[in-house]
Amino acid sequence: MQDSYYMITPLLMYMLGGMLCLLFSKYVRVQRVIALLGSFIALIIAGKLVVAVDAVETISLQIGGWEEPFGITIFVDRFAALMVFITALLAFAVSIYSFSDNVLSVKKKRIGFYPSLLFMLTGITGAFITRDLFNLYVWFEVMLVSSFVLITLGSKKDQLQGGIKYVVINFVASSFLLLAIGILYGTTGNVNFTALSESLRQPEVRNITQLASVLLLVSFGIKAALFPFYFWLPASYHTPPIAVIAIVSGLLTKVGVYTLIRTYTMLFPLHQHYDAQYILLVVACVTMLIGVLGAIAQSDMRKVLAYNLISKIGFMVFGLAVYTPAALAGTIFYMLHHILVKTNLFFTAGVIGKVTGTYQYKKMGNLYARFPVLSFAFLLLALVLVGIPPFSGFWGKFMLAEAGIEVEQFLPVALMLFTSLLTLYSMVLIWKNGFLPKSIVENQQIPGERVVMKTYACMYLAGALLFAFTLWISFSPGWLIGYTQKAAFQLMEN
Amino acid sequence: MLLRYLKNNKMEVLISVLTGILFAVGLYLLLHKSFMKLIAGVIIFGNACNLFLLVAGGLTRNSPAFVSKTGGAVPVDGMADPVPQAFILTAIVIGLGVQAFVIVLLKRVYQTSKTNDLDKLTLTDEL
Repeated sequence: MQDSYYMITPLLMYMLGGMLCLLFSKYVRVQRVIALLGSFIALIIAGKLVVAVDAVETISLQIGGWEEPFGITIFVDRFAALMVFITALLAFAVSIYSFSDNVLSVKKKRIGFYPSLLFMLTGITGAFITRDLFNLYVWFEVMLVSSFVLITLGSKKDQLQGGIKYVVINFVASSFLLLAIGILYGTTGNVNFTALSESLRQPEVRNITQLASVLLLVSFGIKAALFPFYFWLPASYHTPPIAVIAIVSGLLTKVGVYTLIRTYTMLFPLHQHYDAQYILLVVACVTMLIGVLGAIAQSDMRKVLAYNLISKIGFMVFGLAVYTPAALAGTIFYMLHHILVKTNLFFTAGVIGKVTGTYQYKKMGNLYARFPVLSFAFLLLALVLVGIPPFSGFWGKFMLAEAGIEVEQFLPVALMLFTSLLTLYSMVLIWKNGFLPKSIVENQQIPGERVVMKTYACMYLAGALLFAFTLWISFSPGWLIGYTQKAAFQLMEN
Repeated sequence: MLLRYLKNNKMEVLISVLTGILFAVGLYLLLHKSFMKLIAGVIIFGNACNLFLLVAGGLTRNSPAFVSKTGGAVPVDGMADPVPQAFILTAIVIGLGVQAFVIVLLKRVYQTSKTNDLDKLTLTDEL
């Protein structure tokens, strides 16, 4: 019983925090303490959840006491526990990051940053732990409506323009999810994942549920920013304040990948649906390549990172498409690694943007001489993102590549490694133009690193927190790899 | 056989056709470049989805899912399935929120960008 409290508490913490923040909507100082405390408690409980799930395999809870196929089930296995934990970690880091008023102005905080943030986290956590397709739709909407507010927070011209694209495409994606639910309920009479996966195995319903499979692929593909559906992401992700981008880019697309994994391991297991597997494989490969090519073409640092995000989504979906336990373990590991490093890169980019006043890396230059610590952090994070050994990106990529070679998918693996090389190129472009000295040495009066560190202490602290976790899974990946492998076996059992 | 099916399930066929038309109209309006038509598209597309849920759950005539007043057992065989109705109710509420947000968002965009043409909102796509 205690275990089920661990499972539900992070979600309730965010929800309670969000409500309290609404009550204190005039008092930003109270709100930020609420957010910090709430996410800290959620982080501790989520850590306990990860350990508890490891001991008992799965935890489930029937909401309201209704039996399994009729009521809403809350269910956590190892994969879900890891995702809940990483969400709580990011929530805590972003609460620290946005604590000070010079990161995110009081005006923006007053118009609803903290309530939206906490309600978005509620939606994300709910989507991770629910076992019911319609409930998933509801959590998705909670998450999306809050993220609409976050993306358009401050109502600048480009934010609103990017916001329209984001809102409309996500509306269409949610509608597709609703259509798929309609079809699945109409043919099987279930929306519970466990009951659905049993009834979908019968061959007579297969023809009509294929349609639902396609609709779910499109819906979650849009949310995960897969190849033909990714255009909304670079159009909207670079516009909001940097604290918002950091958490949104770290988590929202991963929820899409998470639900894709759930759909194609439980509802439509890929070893029975070869066509879906083939589509996913092709889409993953194209996503990798297109994403990284976009990153090379951009000159705004945030856009480079956003395009790199798309290309890494391809890596994760590749692991799903290979569909062996080793590949799924690689996907889970890569996802966790990528959430940590991508958010941290946006954190670092935020500091750089604050001190230089621009995100165009061609307008910077010689940052290394003035801010050695910041530059070193950026360089290390770039290397982690690319996957240079011994950092965590290497382990994830290694697991994925090994799993791909095992099933003789040589071309996608080659493409993946080539993509990593191009990622390195895109990051080196930033490094060369932004950090190394240019030919004309300008002598500007910009405060030194110590002053900056003092002014933006919260930003440095949040970055250091996430970086500590990255270093941990880089230098002793054994525990996490073991955990993800067990999680992958759990996924494949269904 | 098809004719007999049409004769016996007039309502299902009619609502299915209506749903199809609403989807077509909604999609056309969503892809249109005028702001007002985008709003109308969002509303109609959402309603088409709700109607689709209703048809997919199966239409039942004149037998609402009510429990008898005395609390006795009720035959559930011919009763309308309440679950899709609950889905639709939830979806309508969520849809209302999204529609309200879209309307406010488009108003703000119109105020800041001074245009009524979605094709001109290219600020975020420039290099």
